[in-house]
Amino acid sequence: MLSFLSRPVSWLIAATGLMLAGMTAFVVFQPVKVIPRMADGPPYALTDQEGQLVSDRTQAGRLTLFGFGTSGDFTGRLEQTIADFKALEAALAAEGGGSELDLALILYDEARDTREARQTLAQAHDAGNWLLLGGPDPDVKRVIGQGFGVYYEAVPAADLLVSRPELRERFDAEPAPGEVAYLQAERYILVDEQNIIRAEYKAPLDIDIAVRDVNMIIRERESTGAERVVNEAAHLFLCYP
Amino acid sequence: MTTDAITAQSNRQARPGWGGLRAALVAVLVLGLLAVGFMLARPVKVLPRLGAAPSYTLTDPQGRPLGSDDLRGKVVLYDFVYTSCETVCPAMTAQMMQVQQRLEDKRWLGEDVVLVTITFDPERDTPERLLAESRKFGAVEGGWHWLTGELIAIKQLVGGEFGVYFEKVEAENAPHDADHAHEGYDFVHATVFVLVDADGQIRSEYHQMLNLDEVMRDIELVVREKNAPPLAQPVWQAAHAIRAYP
Repeated sequence: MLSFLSRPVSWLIAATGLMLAGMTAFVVFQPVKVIPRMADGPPYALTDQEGQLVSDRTQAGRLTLFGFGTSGDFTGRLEQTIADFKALEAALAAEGGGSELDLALILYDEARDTREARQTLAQAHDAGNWLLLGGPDPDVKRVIGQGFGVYYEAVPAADLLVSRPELRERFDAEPAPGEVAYLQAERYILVDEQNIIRAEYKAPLDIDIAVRDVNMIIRERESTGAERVVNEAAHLFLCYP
Repeated sequence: MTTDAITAQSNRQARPGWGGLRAALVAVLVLGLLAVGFMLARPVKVLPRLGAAPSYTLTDPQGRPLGSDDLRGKVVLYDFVYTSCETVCPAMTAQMMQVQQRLEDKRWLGEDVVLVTITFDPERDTPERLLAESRKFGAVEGGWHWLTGELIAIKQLVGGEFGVYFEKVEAENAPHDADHAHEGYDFVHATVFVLVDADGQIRSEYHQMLNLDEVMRDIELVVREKNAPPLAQPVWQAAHAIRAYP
């Protein structure tokens, strides 16, 4: 045994073996988990309810959870999104966190979702610290549709009511000719401080999962030295929850 | 009988539960070891349950209604295309054709697994057109369904519920005369396949072209789970509990 260890080649073999064993153990036991880096988020430049520019550059260094909707929605989606945002905000605050995350709601009907309408929405829901974003229709479509891959489309409101009669009770009166309603995929997108998409959720939001993901991304972001290397190894070995 | 033997016997009689307790401890130990072994070795793997797939009723190429309820009990692989597409859709359909062939080889097609292609261009993709297209790609009757429907129902289902992004755009070099107005558009769309299990739960989404080996592995996992005998079901539930994902 001692003579074996006296040779440098033996040390090299032993070190390689130990490293391989360590890597295998890492892959099997996954002692560190990370949230995957799914894709680059789209570049965007929109304005919030105060008229301030909000872009992928201004959000650099911040985590952002995006939701999508319109203030003219009568399908209940916007109510669900607001309820989900509030629940997430409360859950993070209960843990003493939340300041690292921005909740951004992109409102996609330029005609309805004016800055004033977004301000009113923010006041109505005590959501002054959220980012209620809007912009020209083509820009918004490019960000939500082609950028985040979230479907939404205007359809005649009358057609939607025929297709989904259960919505009729949510509609105040017969839709006017030419009045539109929106079909939309109910999605949330979590983007990290480098505008990388880290998670995609369906509505209603699973608050526990979202809180877990936010905390894991923050922990990863704040890691340094050996811990950062281990986190990168976790990405390499697909150690995802 | 000696005094010691009598004492020992009386002790055993005084603590009648010791034997049972020991057996219980051994059983717990064995169960614990089995659980740890199961977690480490993961002899059964499953795909996560990602949520309920949407319900729908659409129209097949023969003009007959076909819906999600008709497909219950079968594993379904969906894709979403439009037949006028000249970019990615033909490649997606060709992949579905390859999956169909592999399913036939395993004798699963139509029995355990079906393929469903849904158009998001129902204005042009009439049942007749889908019939021609399905024949062109050799779709097996009862094994690979091609579906169309009312425009708004399709938008609601594909975009709103399956969450597949598609956007109608004006086609390049589109004819602008009235006779060809319907040809003047194209789609920007995502490449999406969705695997749904026999209970209507989404088990996997593929947001790019398929890796055929990977999708066949996934289909096999879901089919095995579906066909597991009732007594073995707890093993699959345990695999879900410990997230024994591939």
